[in-house]
Amino acid sequence: MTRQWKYILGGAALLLTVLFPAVFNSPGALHLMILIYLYALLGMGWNILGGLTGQVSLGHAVYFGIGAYVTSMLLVTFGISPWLGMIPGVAVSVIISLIVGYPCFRLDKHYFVIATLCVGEIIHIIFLNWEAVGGAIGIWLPIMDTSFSNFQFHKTKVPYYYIILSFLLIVIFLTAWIQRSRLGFYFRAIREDQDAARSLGINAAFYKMVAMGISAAITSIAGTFYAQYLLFIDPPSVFALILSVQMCLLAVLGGKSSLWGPIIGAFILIPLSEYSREFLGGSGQGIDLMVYGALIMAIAAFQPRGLIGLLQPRKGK
Amino acid sequence: MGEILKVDNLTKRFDGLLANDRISLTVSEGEVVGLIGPNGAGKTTLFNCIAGYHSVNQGNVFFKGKNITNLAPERVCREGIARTFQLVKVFNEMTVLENVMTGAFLRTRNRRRAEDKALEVLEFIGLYDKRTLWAETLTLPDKKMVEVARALASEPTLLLLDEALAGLSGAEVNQAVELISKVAKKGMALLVVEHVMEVVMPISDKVVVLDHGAKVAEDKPEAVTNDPRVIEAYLGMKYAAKHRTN
Repeated sequence: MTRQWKYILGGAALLLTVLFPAVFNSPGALHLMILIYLYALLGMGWNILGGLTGQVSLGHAVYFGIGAYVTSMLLVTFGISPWLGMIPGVAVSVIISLIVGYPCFRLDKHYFVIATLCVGEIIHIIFLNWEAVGGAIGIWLPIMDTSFSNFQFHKTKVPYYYIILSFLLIVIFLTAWIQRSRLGFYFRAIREDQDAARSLGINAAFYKMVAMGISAAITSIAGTFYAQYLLFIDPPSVFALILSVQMCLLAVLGGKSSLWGPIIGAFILIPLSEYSREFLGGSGQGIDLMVYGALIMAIAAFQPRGLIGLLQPRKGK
Repeated sequence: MGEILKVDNLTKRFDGLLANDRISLTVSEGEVVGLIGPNGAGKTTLFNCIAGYHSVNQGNVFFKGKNITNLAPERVCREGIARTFQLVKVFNEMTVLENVMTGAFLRTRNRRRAEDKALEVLEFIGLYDKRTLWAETLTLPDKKMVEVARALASEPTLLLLDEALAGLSGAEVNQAVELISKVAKKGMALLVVEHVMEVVMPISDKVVVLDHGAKVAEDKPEAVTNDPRVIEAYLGMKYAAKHRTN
């Protein structure tokens, strides 16, 4: 694909996403798109660490939950605007991610995955039993007037749509910048071969922490959005293991380590799970996961680079 | 010519196994030093001790007068020692150019400058035409060349080549040897690990011979080949005894 075509396609896609609410303004359509962008954001956050740097985490729900809880608690107890609360939310997530990363990065690949999974479950259980933050009951956010500074919009979902779209666009540009810069080269070198990376003067331990921090920050912001969008959070909805697994799945399905992979993944998996739930109702619970499983197997067998591999064939490049 | 690398009484033990026993050697500026010895002599261990991949039990490594013993590999590289690996470790999911740029990024943050440096090194190595290929699609000799290029792009003053010629066919060996001499002509010091003596002798200014973890000789190539201890190490005691009586 030539550069010109890339710009034309990119511009057209941007125009479509920006104009979408003008054409499809039903709450259902907007809700679906908001979910897709939210998950795309989560997938991209996960991808910085899991795809680009090759450190697979199955505990990323931790940062999503922390982002949701910190901003919600600050709003409920001190009345602090979620926009401001987002900053301590990110700070706490990054600090926790570094505390998790420091010992876990010393572990071999598979053990790292298991360690992140364990930390995720531990924090889930802590929040379930932590009465001061609502315990198993969760937190209802106070209903406030519709305004941008309150991060609440009651008549229409359109503002939520544009907020999450802007977050996603910012992260797309951030990721694109990282990929082109020295940081991206170092992340990939660590993923490909840590010993070789170190032989080129790359402090692998440090750069893995950097990737972890960026990844946790993005995930945390998505958590803040989620809490403001649904106005209710409880541990199973923001700390569940399945959430961590989904972040990984979308990135892998779409194409890990590629810029657009997680977005493609979200556009396929989210409608799939939403509609399978809708059509099959309560009895259909878990069907979406079975379809996920089948898709992952198909991808692993036929297109290990993910769906993006179909769009960007490697041969002849 | 000044001494840039000095290994002083280095000892490395793996549990009970004495892999390097009080080894001392020096490499001077622009000098090509061959490090040879039969399999299991401790060459790669010594190499990994110098490059920071193994911790040293006793002794010291000095580089340009600075004690670099037990520094982490990335720190050793920043001091100006680059290396290649016995089993190639190219970045498979990156292009040849990106592989080499990763090395060049050590001395600059700027992408354009890293790219220029990488292209210059690729031109020198003879991989310029293959710069857009994915590293995993290359042949073994080309992968080895990518490793050398990547190391050179980090602008080292000493390059450690670990069995750069292992697994290459006759013609490929000649090409690689030519390249090594070309690198040496640029004024870079080289420490070349190799277990095939014939390959190392013609390109080395000095040869260090290891056997069973200890240094048995350090001399000019011609002198080393006639050293009975070296012959013994390579060909066994019986052969050496016979050789001496003749």
